[in-house]
Amino acid sequence: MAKTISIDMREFEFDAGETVLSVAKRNGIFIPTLCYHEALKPYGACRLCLVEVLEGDKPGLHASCLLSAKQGLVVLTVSDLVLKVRGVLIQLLLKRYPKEKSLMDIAKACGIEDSISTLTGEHQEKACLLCGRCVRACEEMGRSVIGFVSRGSERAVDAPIGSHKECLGCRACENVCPTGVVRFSLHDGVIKNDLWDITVDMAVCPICGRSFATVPLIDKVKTELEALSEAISMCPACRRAELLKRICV
Amino acid sequence: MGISEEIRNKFKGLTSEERSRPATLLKRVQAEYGYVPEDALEVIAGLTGLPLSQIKGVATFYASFSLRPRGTHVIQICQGTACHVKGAKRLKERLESLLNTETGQTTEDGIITLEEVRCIGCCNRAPVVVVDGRTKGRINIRELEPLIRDLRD
Repeated sequence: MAKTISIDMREFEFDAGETVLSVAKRNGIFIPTLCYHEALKPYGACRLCLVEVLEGDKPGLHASCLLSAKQGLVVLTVSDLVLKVRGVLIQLLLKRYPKEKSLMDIAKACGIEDSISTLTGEHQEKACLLCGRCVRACEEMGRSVIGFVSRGSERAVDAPIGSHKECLGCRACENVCPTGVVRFSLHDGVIKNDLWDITVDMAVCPICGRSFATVPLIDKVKTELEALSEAISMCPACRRAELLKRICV
Repeated sequence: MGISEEIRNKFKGLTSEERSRPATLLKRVQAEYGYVPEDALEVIAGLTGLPLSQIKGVATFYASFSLRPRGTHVIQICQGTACHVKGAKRLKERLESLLNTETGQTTEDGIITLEEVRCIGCCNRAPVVVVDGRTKGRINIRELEPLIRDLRD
């Protein structure tokens, strides 16, 4: 018989190694998340995905992104305790980043909007919420160019100057950022990130002259996939044309 | 000899296990130079095999490491809970006005650096200041001026 857990009084089957969050998502049960991203390892920093464990090894509140599904586990996603604690967490975040759009969306989805209008002061519309998605993306897929610095109210994500040259320009950090504060833009032959002051050179296709990928990314492919080392210098369109020529001749 | 080379030499006497611990190496550099130069971060990243971003994370996390050169003398004023209750904020403001500098900065003559710390573990002696590593407890606001004068002499 398949193993099951109970979420909000309903039984769901789960696969080995699956988390409660993943079982809930798969079955259309809403649990708000901020630091969670399906491409990254769970981190449990934002605590927005809290659920209450009624029956299991440790009853109480747990971050569902880190909670492994186990036979007989009984959890609630909308208990009084969950709603209270989650509400406080969202309000604390809102207090600090009142105009941040992604946060407003979470607050709306959770039915907490009342406190927004009373907030004052100058705030950025796009702010870093310190969710750490970009840091983990860089660690897991890039080269750990960025990391957290300082602590408490001064905590921030930054790239030490000495690590700038390590940046591949893969833009995984930009891709996973929930607020859009991490951004790269294309300038004359380079991509630039103003937040961390990182600039990465773009490679130019030797045939058509188009910029199509960063130099370090192409270098990485060249060293890791030797068979591609010649073809990778060309942009995808020229590469196809070149291949076609060879096949037809 | 470049500074990186010099720092690497300072680590020569350490065991290979000690050389794999970033905090141990940072402590050594801090004790040797009075601060942690940027180059040291890269040397430590190289030795430990950890990314530079993580070494910088450790170096900026702990108040005992400073990334900027400090003065000949360092005054650390505790702003922890017990010291706060005992008026540490007023002491800090007094020190700032006496030294004509902000917390975290060094005086213009480069002699005294004022830093704030969060609890140094002797709350029974609050309010506490640490002068060049020596703890002075139950400090009175009137004692600050002579203390600075002594350091300058």
